[in-house]
Amino acid sequence: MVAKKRRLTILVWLILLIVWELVTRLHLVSAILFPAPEEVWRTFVGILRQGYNGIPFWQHLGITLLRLFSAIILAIVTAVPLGLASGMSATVNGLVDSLIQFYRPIPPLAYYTLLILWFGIGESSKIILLYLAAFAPIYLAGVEGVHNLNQDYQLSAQSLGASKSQIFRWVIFPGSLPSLFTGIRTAVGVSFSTLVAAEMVASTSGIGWMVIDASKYLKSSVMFLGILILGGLGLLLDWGLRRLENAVVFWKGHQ
Amino acid sequence: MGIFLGGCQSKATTEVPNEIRIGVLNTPNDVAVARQLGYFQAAFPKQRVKFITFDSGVDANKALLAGGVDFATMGDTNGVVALAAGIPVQLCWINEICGANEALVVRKNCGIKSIHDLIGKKIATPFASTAHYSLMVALEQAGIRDQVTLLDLDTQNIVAAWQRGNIDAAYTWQPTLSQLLPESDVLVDSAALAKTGNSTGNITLVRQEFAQQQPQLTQRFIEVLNRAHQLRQTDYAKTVRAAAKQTGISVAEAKLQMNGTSWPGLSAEFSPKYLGTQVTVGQFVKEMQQTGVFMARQQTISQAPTLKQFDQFIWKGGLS
Repeated sequence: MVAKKRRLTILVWLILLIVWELVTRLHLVSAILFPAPEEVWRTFVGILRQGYNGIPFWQHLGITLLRLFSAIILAIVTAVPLGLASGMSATVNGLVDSLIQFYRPIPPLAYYTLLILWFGIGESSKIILLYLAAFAPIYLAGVEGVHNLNQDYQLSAQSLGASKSQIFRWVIFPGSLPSLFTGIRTAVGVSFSTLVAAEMVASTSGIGWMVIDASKYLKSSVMFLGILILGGLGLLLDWGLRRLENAVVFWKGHQ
Repeated sequence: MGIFLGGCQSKATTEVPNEIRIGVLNTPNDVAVARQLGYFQAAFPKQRVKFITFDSGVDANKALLAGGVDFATMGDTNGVVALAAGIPVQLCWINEICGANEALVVRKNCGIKSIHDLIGKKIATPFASTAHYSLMVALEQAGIRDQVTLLDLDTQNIVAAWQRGNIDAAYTWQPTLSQLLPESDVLVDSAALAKTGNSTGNITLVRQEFAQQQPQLTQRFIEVLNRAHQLRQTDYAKTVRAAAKQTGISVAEAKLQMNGTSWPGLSAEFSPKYLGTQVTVGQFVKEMQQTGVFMARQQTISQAPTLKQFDQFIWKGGLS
């Protein structure tokens, strides 16, 4: 079953690649609209060797990942405690929940221009944008994690004489971990999809910026390359997080 | 007999469109004047003339590539990009030559007296624009190209970043320039760079297919714009008023912006000075080719088009 699924997946990608090659080889569409696979590959090798816009490729990749991870870590550090607190205490929930529910559905681009005016055009406005995108899913996962916890576990621990901090340490926190991990994975996805927007204004580095800049000069092979890199990076990040999740929350699915 | 044949031929190849789509920039240029004074309707009574406003030549190029417009005005650097990328378009008109309306400005009282003092500073400009190219030329002439930080900001963001003190200098155009000018000094402007053989200007591109199938309409289009150029010669005040009204700015603002530009006019454009003639390549075209070489060296385009490619890029129908 698994082998069959994998075979199909590989087949789909192979067919896509062949169609791509054929379409460009037969000049069915203009090369600026659809650059050939080998052209994209040549661009990739060129950028690996000489960098893009005078900046080495690894620096573009590095700054993008730095922006993303600073935002994610900042979001984990703040949203996990707040989410758990909001799940456990009606007071905290009453204070913060409506605010977060209000800003959560707003498209980040809508307030990005404001962030630029408030925090300038440097790294801070970009990181804050990604942070705000990442915050809500983790917070919600915290609240959900506590609410979905089997009440019996808490009551049993209580009846055995566990203190409040012991219950949190041994029951609530580990019990919420599976939900928190799902939240973090969602958060990485959401802020990843905000990345290009974050790098659209006033930057001269980053993979997202590379795509934007290439579009200004109609360098479609660079745009294709940037999009492929972003897609691959997204897959890789999610794969890494799933591995981490399996290692940390090894009991997930087993009560 | 000849007439009969000619009639047949034109009927076979051309079907006169009932709509002409023109991509415009929201600046007080010849298109704005001709539009305000109704020159387009007068010249194209059988067609519906549709105007689509673009923020920059970048978007205009995308529209040309997608076949969404027949004509589009943009900076000549975007024209170089269009040629290098192989968009099927031709250059049919120079709308204006940039001068004092585009300049490199620095904050007052921050000790920057010459371009050399910009070492280590942050300079903003809208990438891929004529201002970006002029800035690069100015930096290269001073030999400090790699010793400054360049930021890609559009004009509104330049004003915001300037007010917040995020940038030390900016190469931009009017009306943004006048928003910065009270607290700034001009280091160099595009008029000075034009004297060193690095002219920039706004040009109009036409879809190749349209120009080939509709040479008469294309010819009429540039005659419409030439009418605006002639009006500027005979009645500058009226030209400014029309441009101001069309672009929604004050007459004083429009005058300030237009004073910095020059409009060559049809006979000058199709002469060796600008777009050239059937036998000679124009000076403006030569400088555009140099722009291409420069941009290829900066790796903003992958390959610099040759002078021959540039000469073929010019729609010479305007010569007749």
